[in-house]
Amino acid sequence: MTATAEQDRRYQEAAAEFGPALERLARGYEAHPERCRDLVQDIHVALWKSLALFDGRCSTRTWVYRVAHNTATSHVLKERRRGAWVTLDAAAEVNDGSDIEADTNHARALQRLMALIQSLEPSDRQIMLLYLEGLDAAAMAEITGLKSGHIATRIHRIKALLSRRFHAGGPS
Amino acid sequence: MTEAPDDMTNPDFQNLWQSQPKEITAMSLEQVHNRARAFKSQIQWRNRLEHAASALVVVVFSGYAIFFDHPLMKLGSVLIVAATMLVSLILVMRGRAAPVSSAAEDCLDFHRRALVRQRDLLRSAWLWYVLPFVPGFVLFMIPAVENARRDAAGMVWVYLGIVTVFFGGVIVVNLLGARGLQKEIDRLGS
Repeated sequence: MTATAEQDRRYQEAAAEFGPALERLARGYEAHPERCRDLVQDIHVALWKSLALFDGRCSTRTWVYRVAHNTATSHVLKERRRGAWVTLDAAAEVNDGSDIEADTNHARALQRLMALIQSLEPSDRQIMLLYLEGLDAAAMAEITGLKSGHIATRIHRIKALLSRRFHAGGPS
Repeated sequence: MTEAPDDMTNPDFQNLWQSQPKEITAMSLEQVHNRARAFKSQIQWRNRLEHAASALVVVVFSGYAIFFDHPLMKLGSVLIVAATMLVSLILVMRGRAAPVSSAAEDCLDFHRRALVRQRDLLRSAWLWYVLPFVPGFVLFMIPAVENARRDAAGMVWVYLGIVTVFFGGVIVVNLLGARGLQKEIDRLGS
């Protein structure tokens, strides 16, 4: 099998397994539907190109999430909207004025969750998105390069932030 | 207040997130290949356009250097040609020195590297991309300003003042931007 065929095979396997997660990840970085579609495609192309260099030193999942978050981070840095981003701590201080009565369906809750994610700085956004995808702290540390202690602290803050913003007890 | 449903008073945020419907059609392998090729071709075209623009500037200002009579315009033209060639050379060398794809490095390193690259660009781009053109541009324009207001020699000083304020402003804005990026870099991983 040639290098390109192997690269294609790896890409197809990764896209099949992580495709939906990559789309959700892109939505966390880009609110505009057309630009989000472009970002998803850019992530797939970056993933395909990167897999020519895949050496198995980390898991495919770690590789895929690194490429996806790095591509999306480049995207938001290029957009230069960083003035509007906040840290997890700052987000916790913000009262978004929402009323729980308005949050009676998933679509509305998802919309608010998305707005919260898109307001975060890239490094906090990465942790939030990986947490929502259900990855454990060790996997998050490997993907982000942050120390486990930092990850644990940020997850704690994320849970507190979600509880506060949704006026509820947090994720089950 | 109406009581909210259980799933919202104690929501499972991970399920909420992961249950989003998939809306974007998956790309075929061929589409991925095509988009990668298109991206590469876009970069090549951009580079060619930059080279073509540089060549045009060199040809036009070489002509000015030969055919214009005023010594300041001749000297200004020569300096603009030299600046164009210098900047083109720097762009080519920077392009060759571009790092191998780092798409799969950990997110913290990638983010830090991206911010450092932007910070360094803001700190130094005016030095190698803007400043080389300033002497030639200033000299080239002095005779034109004198001709436009033959009775007001002070206009040249006004012109030089405007140029200084403009380029000084560009430098200050870039350096302030670099300082903001440095703060972001310092916050990363803390």
